[in-house]
Amino acid sequence: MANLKDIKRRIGSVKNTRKITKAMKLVAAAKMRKAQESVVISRPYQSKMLQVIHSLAAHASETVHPLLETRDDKNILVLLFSSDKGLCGGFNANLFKGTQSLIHENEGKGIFLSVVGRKAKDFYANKNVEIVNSYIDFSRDINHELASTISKDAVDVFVSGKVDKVYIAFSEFKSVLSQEVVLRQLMPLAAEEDIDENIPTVDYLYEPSAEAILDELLKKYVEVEVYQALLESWASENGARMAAMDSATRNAGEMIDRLTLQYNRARQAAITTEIIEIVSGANALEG
Amino acid sequence: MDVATSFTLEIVTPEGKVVDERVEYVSAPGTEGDFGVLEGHAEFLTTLKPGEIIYKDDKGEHYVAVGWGYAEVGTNSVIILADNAERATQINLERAIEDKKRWEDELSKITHADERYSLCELKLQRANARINVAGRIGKK
Repeated sequence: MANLKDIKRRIGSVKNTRKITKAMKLVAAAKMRKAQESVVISRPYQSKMLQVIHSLAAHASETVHPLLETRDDKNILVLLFSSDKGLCGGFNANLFKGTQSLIHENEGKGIFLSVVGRKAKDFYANKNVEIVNSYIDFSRDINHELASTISKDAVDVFVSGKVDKVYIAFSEFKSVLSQEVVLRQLMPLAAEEDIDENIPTVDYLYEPSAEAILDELLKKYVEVEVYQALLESWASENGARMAAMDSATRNAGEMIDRLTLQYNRARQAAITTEIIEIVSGANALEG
Repeated sequence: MDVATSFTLEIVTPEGKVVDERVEYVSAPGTEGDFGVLEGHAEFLTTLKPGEIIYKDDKGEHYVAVGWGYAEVGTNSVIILADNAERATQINLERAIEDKKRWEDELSKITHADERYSLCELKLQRANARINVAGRIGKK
């Protein structure tokens, strides 16, 4: 039987751990809520923009924009959104699993990566892929400027011809308990494919010209997609962390219960032994 | 407000909708020059440069500072998508003036060839727009 002092010390340490995980859970919950709100309010912007791009692409079809041009995909770039910190359950592991399967599908092609977050950078550091850009320590300021830097770098790599296809990989926020890894083609933009035939394309007057506007809008659209992915990923990360910390808190609680039981048993055993000793001592004296 | 002569104006940024109401008149800074819109305007699409948007409803004129964006003008609606948009009442004038100084300094240090030149210029224009818009309500 472990001695009383040891058990007591262990109970104390587990209690401390529980305090920490509980605090982390609360922090993650608050961050997640904020991120979720940002996702929701930035949605109208994205959908409005997509609408205009569709009607523009229909009108400016005679000139092919570099971002719409499909080439033989010899080299691909994956834009990967992971987290900076760990302790968020299977968040990063699931993401890497999805990315790895994409890489396997494209075996034989040149694979380039652009990573957001320290975890992805560490994971791919010794693998057989080239990391083109990495953005680390991003979580403090998720804003438009960051999205614009990331997207500009990705557009540059694509337009320069270094890669022929750009995928984006991030965790979409479904609910606190479920995050879904999304792998989507970002460039060339597949704008024509999902045009809703029911929306009549309006014949606009353009200022300066349809092509010039399309050029600016397409770049902007990539940026908006990246921004959305950043927010979704941030919300998912915190959702995953919240769930992980919640179960850690629960586990710590169970451990405390178990240890307390063990402590009480050990204490009772000690008392019993003592009584037996006293009684048998007294009996010896009487006899 | 007379419904026949009013139309909807929406100003949408990634941080949310700033304006969504019925107005009588709106003017905005297009890249090819400022333009004004009344009800029944021809449909057109233009990019915007940083500047101020003025719109009029039954309560009077309102001012909004916008960054880069574009405007989609329909027969009875105007949709403006901008990087950022702030109503005159939300602008911190002191910060805008500070920003202006900062970007002027930056611009004086670099040349046209620098790739950051256009970015700095954009930031400066944005700060100027903010100052102008904030000044509008100061006068009243």
